[in-house]
Amino acid sequence: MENKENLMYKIMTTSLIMTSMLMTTFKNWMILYITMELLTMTTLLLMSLNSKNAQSKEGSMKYLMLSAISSTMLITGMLLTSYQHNSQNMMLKTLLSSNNNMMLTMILFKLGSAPFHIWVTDMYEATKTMNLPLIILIPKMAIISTLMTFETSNNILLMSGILSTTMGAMGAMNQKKMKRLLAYSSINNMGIMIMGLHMYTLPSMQAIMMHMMIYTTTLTIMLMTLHHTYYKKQLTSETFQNDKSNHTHKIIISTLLLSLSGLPPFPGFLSKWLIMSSTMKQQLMLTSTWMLMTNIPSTAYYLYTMMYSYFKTIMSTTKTMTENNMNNNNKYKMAILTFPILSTLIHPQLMLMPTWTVSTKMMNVPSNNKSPNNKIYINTHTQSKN
Amino acid sequence: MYLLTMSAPMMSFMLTLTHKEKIKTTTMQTLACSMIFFSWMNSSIMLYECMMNDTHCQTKIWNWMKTEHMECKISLHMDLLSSSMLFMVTSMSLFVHMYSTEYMKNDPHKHRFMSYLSLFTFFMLLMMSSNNYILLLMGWEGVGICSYLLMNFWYTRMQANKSGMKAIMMNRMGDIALLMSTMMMMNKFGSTKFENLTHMINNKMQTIMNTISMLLLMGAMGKSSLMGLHVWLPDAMEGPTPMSALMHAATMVTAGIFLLMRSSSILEESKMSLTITAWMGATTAFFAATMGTSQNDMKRMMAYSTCSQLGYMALAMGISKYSISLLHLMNHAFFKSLLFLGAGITMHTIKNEQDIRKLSSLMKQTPMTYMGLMTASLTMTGTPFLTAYFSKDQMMENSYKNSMLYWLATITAALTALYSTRLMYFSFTKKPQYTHTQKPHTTSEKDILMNSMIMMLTLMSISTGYMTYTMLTQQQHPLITQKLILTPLMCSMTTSMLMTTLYTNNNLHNKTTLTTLWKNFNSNAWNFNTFYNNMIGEKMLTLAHYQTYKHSDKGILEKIINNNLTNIMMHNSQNISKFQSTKMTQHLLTMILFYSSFTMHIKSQKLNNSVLFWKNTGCSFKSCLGQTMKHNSLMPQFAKLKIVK
Repeated sequence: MENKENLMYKIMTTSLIMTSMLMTTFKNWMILYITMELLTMTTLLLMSLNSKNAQSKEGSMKYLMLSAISSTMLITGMLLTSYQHNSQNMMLKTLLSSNNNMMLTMILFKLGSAPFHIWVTDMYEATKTMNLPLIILIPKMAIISTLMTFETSNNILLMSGILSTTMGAMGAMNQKKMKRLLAYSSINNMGIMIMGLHMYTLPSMQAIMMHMMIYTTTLTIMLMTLHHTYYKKQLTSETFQNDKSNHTHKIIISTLLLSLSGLPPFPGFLSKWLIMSSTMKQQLMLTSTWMLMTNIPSTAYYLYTMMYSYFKTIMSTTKTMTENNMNNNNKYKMAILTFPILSTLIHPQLMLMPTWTVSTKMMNVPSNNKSPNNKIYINTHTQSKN
Repeated sequence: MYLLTMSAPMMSFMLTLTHKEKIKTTTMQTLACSMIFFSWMNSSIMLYECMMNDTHCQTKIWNWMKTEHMECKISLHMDLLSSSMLFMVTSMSLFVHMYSTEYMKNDPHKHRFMSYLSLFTFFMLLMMSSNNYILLLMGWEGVGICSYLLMNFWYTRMQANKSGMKAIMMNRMGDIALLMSTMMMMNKFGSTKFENLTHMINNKMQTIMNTISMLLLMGAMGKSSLMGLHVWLPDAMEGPTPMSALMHAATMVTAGIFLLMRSSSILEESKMSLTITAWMGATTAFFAATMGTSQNDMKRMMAYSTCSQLGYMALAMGISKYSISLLHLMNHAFFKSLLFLGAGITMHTIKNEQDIRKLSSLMKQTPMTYMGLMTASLTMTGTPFLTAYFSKDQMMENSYKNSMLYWLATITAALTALYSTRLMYFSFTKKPQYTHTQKPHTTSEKDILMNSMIMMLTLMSISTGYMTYTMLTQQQHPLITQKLILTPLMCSMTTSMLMTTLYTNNNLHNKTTLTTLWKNFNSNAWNFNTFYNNMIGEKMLTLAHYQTYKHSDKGILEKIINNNLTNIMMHNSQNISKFQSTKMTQHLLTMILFYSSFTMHIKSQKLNNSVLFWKNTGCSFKSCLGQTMKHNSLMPQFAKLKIVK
């Protein structure tokens, strides 16, 4: 029985990863739709692994309903455009450039950006912490990379980005639960990434790739650490209570939170700075100001979380959990993930170079063309305006 | 090899910091020493390459960052200046590392001390071998931090804390000046690389050049404790003696001088700042020497003498003789570290006593140290054919063009002789004022390592001057009157003889009010501290308390932000949380609402081809929030579509 479940779990995870990889490769809307549906299914299965939990049921139900609606939206959009174009061959690029926002909204739903973010928090709470990185991060990466391939200087993206940053910053202000807080922070980060996508210049693409890499690794490490931390009610105040056994967890989580809030010696600063500077290069001052302004409350709640670990008195010292503690093997794994990501700023070129190459590949520009007046550095839409 | 030189101290730092419990202390110390020795070997090879073979090289280590609006490489630059500085730093560091294994024997925090020393060496090497101002700034800051950490090594002592704070405050001013000048260079010249900054001048740039070089001078003032920002140096003597020898005598304080030498191409473009540098140097030398004459604390006295020697170096740079300044810098490192290390032994002999009035007739107990200190003092006063003679004499002769500077320097030389005679007389040769109740230790110099250090440094401070003089500078002596060549020497000789006779005859007891006043004035360090504290520090603090804190921070900001804005934020975020309810219908409603509104948005956009958002036409920025979908950019696609239909 145990073996069978294990096998099932493995099949599910591999299918999730495979579908995500498939999604990045295809250029046809129909296949994109199919892969998205597949993703939804595997995600639902993985969520319902935790079937004894009531919250899990609630979350998976919500996700099912909402994604059903958004899928219908996608189908409708596809039908409409095929009617407009009068052709069955629906390539990604042609469709989105004709500004069909129905499909874009569906993609935004999948990314979990506001105003279609409602499922995200429930999903975070519904799933086991161990499965969360799989469910949340891998599909997101795939979808973002598909979104990168089509040129969408669309105001919908900007609107959604602004809403997401606001929602992510404000929503978690009073949040008591750790996972929900992380969910809101993911909404906030998604908003920043979408704002970068909206610009659609080469530097901004690079910045998004950087942000994606850094953010996903950070969140994965954090979730892994939380998985090994004992907290019954999933409260923020509870997270760091086991002082004796958790001192490594404490350090890891607090440094990573500092990195997420974008403080200079950590990599989170680099990615945020890159996005911000590419925004400023486009002379979109209000947008970058908005990003900074929404970063303030989010930093506030990150710091608030850390405050529990260092400045609050520990309520009870009797709790000792041995089963959930990390063994040495896991500790090494964690260290292998943590140290490179925290020491990125010693040699950022190591990450900047591949992201640059990838973004040039995605935007189909020759990588050796480095004149700053090049079209790829400054988006033509803005330039032609004045 | 260049990288190994740099990374060996870093490795030593890492090892000593992390393996506190795992490796035995003595092993650790040997390891650290051998690392530094390795680094020293490398740097001497480098010195050989640069000095004898007359080469220089640049090594690119890695591309630190390269985005479309910024490019920064980390690369090293080795030429005569940096390699000689490297040699000096590593040899001093080696001496101090070895000395401190013995000196800190009874301290429980040997590991920490060793690791800080190694870290300091690393940052110093980084600073010396950088090829642009940004990397230099990095090393500069790191050196500052290490200085603070070491000064505050015994952090339970209040005085050490105070002095650390003072040092960091004073250094900050210089750091900010350096940062500002770096930014200015980046802005005006587009590069901070040293080679690119030569011959940058044109007629329009004079004011910019003046500003940049004045800022650089300000930076040097902070680090090298020239007059004005010097007040931290005497207080820095609160730390352990080996650290004072390494940082506040030999290496760190010369960083400012090094900076000025590095940016000589900029300084040469602005005659104003050169003159100011020369005058600053001469006055610093003079006034630090006067303060040195009336100090009673041994280490403070030495600190003032360091200050005075640094003034000499600045003077040499002010008259555009950079190589002489470098020569003096290297020579100074040897004899000054000898002075400090000897002082450390002397202090250990009599229960860590630093007051020279309480030390007496140590000649019998510590003959070796006496010998070393005597040599160092003689060197410092400029006795012919000892180390400092070569550089100091050259400097004096060259400064003759401006006779004021010359005479100031000569008086300083006399004063130098005065305070070093005083130091030697009081602590070594004078008869004790009390009778010994118990038999003094006759064998306080029992450690072989320490003794050999002293011996080696003594020999070096006798001989290095000749070597460095022949290798670094082959400058001709300027034409001056023949009588004047011997003037500084005669001055210092007469002063020391006078002092010795006066002291032995006990003729100094009849004090007049004027001498008392002068003495008080000097021993209060010309009231610089009082002035800074009463005029600047206190005024600023009161202003900050009443205006910034009481009115704006606790007044306006508290009212607006804490009482109103936070409440509003919290309330709103509560509402947003309510939005995340458990009701399915609500969720579906919002989804459908937004879906439809977003879809409608395209319709409107198609009609108007305009931006939905806050379009600020009067704004100087091109567009404020979003990018507009331009009519032209969409048209071709629509045209195509129509054709398809």
